[in-house]
Amino acid sequence: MPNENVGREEPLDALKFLGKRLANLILLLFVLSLVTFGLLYMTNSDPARTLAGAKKVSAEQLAAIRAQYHLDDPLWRQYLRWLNNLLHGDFGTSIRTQLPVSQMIGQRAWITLALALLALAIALVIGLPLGILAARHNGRWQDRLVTALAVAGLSAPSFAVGLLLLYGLSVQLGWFPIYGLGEGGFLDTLWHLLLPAITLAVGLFASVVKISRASLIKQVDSDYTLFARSRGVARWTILAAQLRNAALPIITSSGLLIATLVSGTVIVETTFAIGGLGTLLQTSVTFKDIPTVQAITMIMATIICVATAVVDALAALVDPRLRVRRSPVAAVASVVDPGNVRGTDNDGTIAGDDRAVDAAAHDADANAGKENVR
Amino acid sequence: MMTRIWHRLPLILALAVLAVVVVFSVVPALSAGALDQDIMLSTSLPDADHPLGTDSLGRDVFKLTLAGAKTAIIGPVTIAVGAMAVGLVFGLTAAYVGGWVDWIISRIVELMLSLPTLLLAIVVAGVIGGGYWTNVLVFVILYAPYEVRLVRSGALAHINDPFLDAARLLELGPLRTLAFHLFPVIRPLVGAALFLDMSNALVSLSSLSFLGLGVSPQDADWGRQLSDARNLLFDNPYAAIAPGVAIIVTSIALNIVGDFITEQSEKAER
Amino acid sequence: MSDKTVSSANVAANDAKLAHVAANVAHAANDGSATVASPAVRVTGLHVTIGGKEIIHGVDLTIPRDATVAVVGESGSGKSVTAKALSGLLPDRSDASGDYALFGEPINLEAGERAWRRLRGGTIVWLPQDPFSSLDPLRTCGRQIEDGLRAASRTGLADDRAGDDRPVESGRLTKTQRRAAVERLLVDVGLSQAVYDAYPHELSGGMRQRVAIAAALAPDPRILIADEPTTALDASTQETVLDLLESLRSSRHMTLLLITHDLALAVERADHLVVFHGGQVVEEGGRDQVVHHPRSPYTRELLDAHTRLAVTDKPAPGDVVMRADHLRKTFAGAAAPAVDDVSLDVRAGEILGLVGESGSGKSTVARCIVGLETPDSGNVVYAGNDGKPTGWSRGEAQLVFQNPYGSLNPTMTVRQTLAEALRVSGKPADDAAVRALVAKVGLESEFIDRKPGTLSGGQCQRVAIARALAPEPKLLVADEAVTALDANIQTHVLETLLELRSRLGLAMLFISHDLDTVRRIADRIAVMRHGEIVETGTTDQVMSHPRHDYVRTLIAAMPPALD
Repeated sequence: MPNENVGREEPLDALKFLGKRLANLILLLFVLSLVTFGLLYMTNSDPARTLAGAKKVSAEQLAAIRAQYHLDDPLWRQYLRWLNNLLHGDFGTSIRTQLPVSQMIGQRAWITLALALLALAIALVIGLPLGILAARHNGRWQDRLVTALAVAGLSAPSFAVGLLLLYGLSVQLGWFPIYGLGEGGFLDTLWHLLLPAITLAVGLFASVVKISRASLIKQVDSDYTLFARSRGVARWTILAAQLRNAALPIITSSGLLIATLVSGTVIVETTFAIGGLGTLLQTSVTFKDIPTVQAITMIMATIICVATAVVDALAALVDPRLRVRRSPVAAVASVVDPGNVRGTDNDGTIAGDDRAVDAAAHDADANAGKENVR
Repeated sequence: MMTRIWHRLPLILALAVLAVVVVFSVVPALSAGALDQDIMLSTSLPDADHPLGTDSLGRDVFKLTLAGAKTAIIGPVTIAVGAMAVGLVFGLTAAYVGGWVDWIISRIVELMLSLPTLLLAIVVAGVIGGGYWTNVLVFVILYAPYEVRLVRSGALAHINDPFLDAARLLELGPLRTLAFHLFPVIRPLVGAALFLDMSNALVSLSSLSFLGLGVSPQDADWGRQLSDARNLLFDNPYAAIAPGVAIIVTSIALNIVGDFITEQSEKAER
Repeated sequence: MSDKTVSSANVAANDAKLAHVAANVAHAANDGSATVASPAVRVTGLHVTIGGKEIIHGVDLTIPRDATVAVVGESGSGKSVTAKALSGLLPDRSDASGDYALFGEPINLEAGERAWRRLRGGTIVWLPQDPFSSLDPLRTCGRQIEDGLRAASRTGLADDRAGDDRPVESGRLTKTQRRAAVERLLVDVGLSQAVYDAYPHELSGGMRQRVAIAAALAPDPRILIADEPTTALDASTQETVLDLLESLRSSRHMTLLLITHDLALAVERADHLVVFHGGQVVEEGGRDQVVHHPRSPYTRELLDAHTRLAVTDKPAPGDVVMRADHLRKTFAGAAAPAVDDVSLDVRAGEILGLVGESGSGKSTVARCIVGLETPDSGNVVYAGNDGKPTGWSRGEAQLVFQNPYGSLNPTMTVRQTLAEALRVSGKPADDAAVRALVAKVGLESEFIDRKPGTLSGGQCQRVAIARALAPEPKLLVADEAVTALDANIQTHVLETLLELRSRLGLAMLFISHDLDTVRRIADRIAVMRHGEIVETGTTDQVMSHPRHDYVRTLIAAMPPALD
């Protein structure tokens, strides 16, 4: 019988894949920058007015502002100038404080970073083991309890949780400091960040639990697990295989976590009156301090998009189905095996433009649950 | 019989909570007098007249919390239904028509999904000037791509099913096919998503209110209440506990119902 | 036919079996041991409940050593569940009870995972059906096979097989030795040693199944349970894999349990047959005995399913209803055309069978004929109502699909589905009309208000046929319409189609990959390969005097007649 190697998957070209991702990222950042730039024009008043701030200004002052910010230039030129400044680190001057925006950001950036990392660490350290535990005891009380906690964590808004925790643990029990960052040094600041980090972690940990539980359960119910068990394969070998296979969708879904994390800092910082980028953003938005808003938005959004793209690329590279390689069996196969296949293979895991893959990925979506848009 | 009730307890409680919230949002008379201020009674602890005390403006916390039910339901429902309507139109079209139409819709959706939702909402809504219904509109736009993706992938799972081909063989026409054949198949998916969306939308809306970007200071709103209550923790903690618990419980209830619908539809498919 | 009761028949059968086994052992062992060895598997009174529902209702089973035993039954008959129960692989919420002995040693069916691990691998291995999901996608094939190589003293039952040709008992093997052992296994299953470093997705379905077999053999099991080992593979690969299993069985002195829904396959390959139906064993015995003297009516039905159909009066073929001329279709990105210059015609009252393996283009032809695909060139013409040739419309031709459940809208009841079809065809869609339509396809009217999920495959397919008949088409295209149904149901549906042909004078295009099914129903046959028709003629002509080599091969691959 003639050979038709139907059903054999083609390994995706890793380089082409990465290139596409990079192009997507650049397009995304471009769109973001357009939106951010446009903020100046979204206010109710004339841009010059906005840039003048809250005080009364005369007509000459308005004209001066218009000249200073080149507001009479065509829009595209204004955009390019703005973008150029941004890329050179010139974020403009804050309308509210009259200080250079980059200076204000520089003072506070590390606080937000510390808060975010702390929250991420707490969420992972608590969430991953709990998710694995729930999966291993699927259907029993451990699973129910963990799932209930996850539902609660996922639903509850962080400011509500934060205030309740604040009341319970700080005001009543006095375990944690109340508002602010305290006067002390590095460690004292971290201590002040702990309760906010826990609050932020609550929403994250719920996502982590849901995702890790769902993907591990899928592995436990899989055919290859059953087959390995039937052959008497060692328990640890089977568990390792399950964790490896479960890791892929977990990594892919981590991208979502980053967005929640960064956006969440705004809420949490405001709740606890932490002087980080989050509170700065909130104050600036309320004050209509456009240059500051633009700068912080671009920074945060860029971090989110870049980190998400990196995580996606990482997940893709780890999957051996995507590695470019000359299969050792390619040449030999045609001689040895005339195998034809009736069915088709449909287990691609990369979310992409392929309609068949998307149809299969629909299962993954349903399992991982609704993503957290907060 | 008892074990069945026990297993279904979370769902029953959730439905009860939602029923209460809906009632209070629809019948304004029940929370009359919520906005009455009385500076004399500013931030007082619970007593006979005011079971949960008053806030800094002397408003009764209990009544205020009940009144907040309105903004907790109307906005989220609008967002969920609005976003889903967009999702159905574009998602079903993308799945059914395929080709370059699908390609364009998918690219736009992908792009929008990569944008950080809450961040943009805060910034855009804040700069525009905030306000409850502005925020609702912003969220309808920001949630829509999630629904488009959901509907599209749900429809794609069935797009190659022969019964759709059979509809073509009967020359039913695309509109009839979409409405009576493709849509019913994803109906459970849509139902579950609506509730989960409402839960998320409640959180999103109240977050913006909390940040001072939502309802005007006069209105009753849980997010706004919590924001005001931040400084009252020492004086009358109930001003914070009441709306805090209300939001959390309502949000969880919506989530539970959504999860239940998902469970039911998964069982039916097996 | 004897009229013994079932239980005494069982006892008699078991006695015969023991004698048979003893005879086997005496012949096969040849190394001096003359003791009567206990059978590989002996189960009495097996009951299995899953999720509270009893699936297996008291099964008695004895499987002799070193034999190939086929466990036959339709889907849902309990054969897979029994196999899983015997290897301790039932899902979590299940209970199994009964007396179970492997090679004479009693086994506790309710034992925990640890106790089962003792047995799995060295004593009993279960090989899953689907080669696409049975292997870990993230590990090389070689490593996965290696996982099964058992360390010394791991599996419990004393192994008394004779054997110079059995693989080296693995004690503490070094890395090189393990690799060498795996490579030997790969060669045993007919694969190159290079497969060691390949990932499963780099191999075709047939190769993956061989890797799975190698992995199953690595722990050197005494009993191998192969669960539908060839269902996911194409006809030619099926043969090779089954040959492989048989040769491995004899060289390793294994007992091979073949689980299959295909009675013909079972009869061809097995020494002993066990027939399952409704969670019970309805027939058990040596192959010849079961085939020639079946005791259970169900077995008779299964056997009959492969004989010729009762042909009702065949109307003389009328005028040509549909003519397809020089159809060509190449899909975007494909190297070769799916349909390459195909022409055929069908007359009223005639059944044209179209045979071809998957990828031959037959489904594409069908879709072109009913307008679901547009051919690149060539045309499809229908006789039309008033003698004027027309293109396709719903009143000209309808299609019945392969997947009975997928072809009906799961959210609509039978009534709604049929009413819609009637309405849109301009026919009355009231209760009487729906009932009449349902009666035409031999479906009881009690099913009218049910949804497809509550119907069986055969019933769904009847509804699909009814829907196809609603617009009163001249041509009915059946694209693998009975392939997904169990053997005895296939017969019933085929009979229904024949009846419709003679009552309505329908023209039919019957498409299938299975020549055996096609020849039972078709008047003329056309054979397709690689997008071309390689042979046409009347059924008798093609079956007795095939001209093309490919057709000869297909005929040769057909299972032998069961009478």
